[in-house]
Amino acid sequence: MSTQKILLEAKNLSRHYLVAQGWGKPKAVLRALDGVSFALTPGKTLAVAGESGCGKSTLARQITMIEAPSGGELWMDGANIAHAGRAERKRIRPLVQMVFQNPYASLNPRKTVGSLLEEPLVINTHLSKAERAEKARAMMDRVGLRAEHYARYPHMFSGGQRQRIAIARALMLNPKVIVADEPVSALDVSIQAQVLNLLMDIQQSSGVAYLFISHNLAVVEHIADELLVMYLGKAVEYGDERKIFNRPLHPYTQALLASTPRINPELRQQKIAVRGEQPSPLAPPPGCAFSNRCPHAVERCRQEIPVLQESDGRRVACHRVEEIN
Amino acid sequence: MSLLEIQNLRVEFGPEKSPFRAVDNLDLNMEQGEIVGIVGESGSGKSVTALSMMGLIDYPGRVRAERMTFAGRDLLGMPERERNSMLGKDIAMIFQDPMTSLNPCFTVAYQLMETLRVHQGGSKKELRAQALALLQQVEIPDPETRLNAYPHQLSGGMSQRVMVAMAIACNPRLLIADEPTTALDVTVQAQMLELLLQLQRERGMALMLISHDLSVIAQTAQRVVVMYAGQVMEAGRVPDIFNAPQHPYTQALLASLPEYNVGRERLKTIPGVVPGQYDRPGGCLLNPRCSYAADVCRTTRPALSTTPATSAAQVRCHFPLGSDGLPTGHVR
Repeated sequence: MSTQKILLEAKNLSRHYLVAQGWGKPKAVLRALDGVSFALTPGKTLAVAGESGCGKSTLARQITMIEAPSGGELWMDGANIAHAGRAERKRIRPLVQMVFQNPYASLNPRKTVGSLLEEPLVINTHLSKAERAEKARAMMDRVGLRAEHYARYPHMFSGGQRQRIAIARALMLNPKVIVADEPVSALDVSIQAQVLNLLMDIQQSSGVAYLFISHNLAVVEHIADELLVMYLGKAVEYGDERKIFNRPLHPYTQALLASTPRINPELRQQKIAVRGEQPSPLAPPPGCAFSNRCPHAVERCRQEIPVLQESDGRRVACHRVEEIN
Repeated sequence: MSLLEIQNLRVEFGPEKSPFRAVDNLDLNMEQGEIVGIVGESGSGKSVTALSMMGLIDYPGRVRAERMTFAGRDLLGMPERERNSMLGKDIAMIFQDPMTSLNPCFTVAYQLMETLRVHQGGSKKELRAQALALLQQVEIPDPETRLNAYPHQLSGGMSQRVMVAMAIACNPRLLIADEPTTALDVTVQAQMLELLLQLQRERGMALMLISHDLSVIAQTAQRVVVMYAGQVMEAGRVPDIFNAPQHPYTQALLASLPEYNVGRERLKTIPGVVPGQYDRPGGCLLNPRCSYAADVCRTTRPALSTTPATSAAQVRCHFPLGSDGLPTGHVR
């Protein structure tokens, strides 16, 4: 990885849930996030890609401190926030903000844009009312909302504008990290481009780091500097975005890229046969989690869990990475 | 004679005097065995078009057309009984969200057999055997046990396969798939598209594929109709329309995709938003967002015309784009 100062670092981060199986039966362990490690540097974007149920959103919930991880370490600003005390958590919280997937659900319909944007300031700062309003108006200008929008309610805006409001709210406390959970997947194509541009402009001017969660690889390819591909709670490939897109090494990354529809026929890849669907996280296959769908799986894959290993400038979790590429 | 002929379809809601036209002046022809993609942003009228063909627009919505025929039979004029016997049999539809389109109270077998019973009849044993064969055709693993499963026991991809099985149960000649893969993961999406194309080839049925995703359409359809705010903006054959779009909207939509902006920092954008019910502009519907808009675009709505360059393509623009990507005959 780069030698730049690390903003946020996850080491072997895990989050397990206990799931009731029915009356009288023991609770099952669901490993939603199972030993994921990565680092975020200022001004860079780490994209997390994978299908639903792979643990992308669970990861976001750990980093934004909505939940406490059940294992591993999460370092930010000199503190391990996985096990930090109340005061420490309160100090770190403003540094990590979140933009949610659906702007129709993430904005309180009973609050005006002004009060939505000022709420983080009310909670975390001692600014006066006039100062808060001034900050909110300055932020609205920065994300491309007009001054007259200040007193309007969320229902008066289109999806793209609502996502601008949500982004403005996340920026109010000058965070160092923004976790964006599928920020453009609820938007139309023409609006998606506007919001992606806004996110990139903000990163250039403020140096904020993004953890960009998306299932859309075309969007990821455009915005990301680094890529973390997840499958059933585990990282399968992690490294420089260009390297992975140019030459994916893990069979799952290959399948994802091959399945992504393309307009340009030259970019379309030979379809790689991936049969079936992601298994239930309650009963993952022994060994490699992808072994039951992988076209290259051998006996070893079904027994031994692969670990991330350095290969061609990125890290891959596959037993047969050398043989199949 | 085309399989499906639609001329000047209008779907209106609201007061008679100032109706809101969800679909306006839509012409569409489909041949037997053809794959037509309908693409557009939300609110462009793609789904309403499909629903109007299936007779699913209820009062107070109004469906009007100069001509709307399927295999030579008038869909709007025929008695309701006759129409009901056609829908689900000759024309079938797959909906967007598989989790909500199956009835949660009944098993897969019951719901599959219901379709078959209504349209062809037969003994319970025969119907069950047919249902099993259908599940095998849509490649559901372990079909015998799946027959007795309830929808909540199936994953998203599996439910969509059941929906497909139900739609093809009576050998439809036209299958309408409204965003069939939007709710699915990419690897499952690829499997689902493959399955639809394979069934289409085997049975020679016509497939109308509705999607907001240009790349899905580009990869599967033979002909594309681009819709915007209820109107057809451009229609044409597949490689042509993506290689050399003739309407500024298609051009701008393609240019805003990340795929067309590789290595570029900023994406090209279309300013503004899709007009809603109350803010549809006069003249060309695109004019507030179009970078080439001239005075005539703000006053006169262009007609959908066949372009001289390629006879298969139609475009609704005063200044259709030439092969250089610039408007022809344009005076600003």
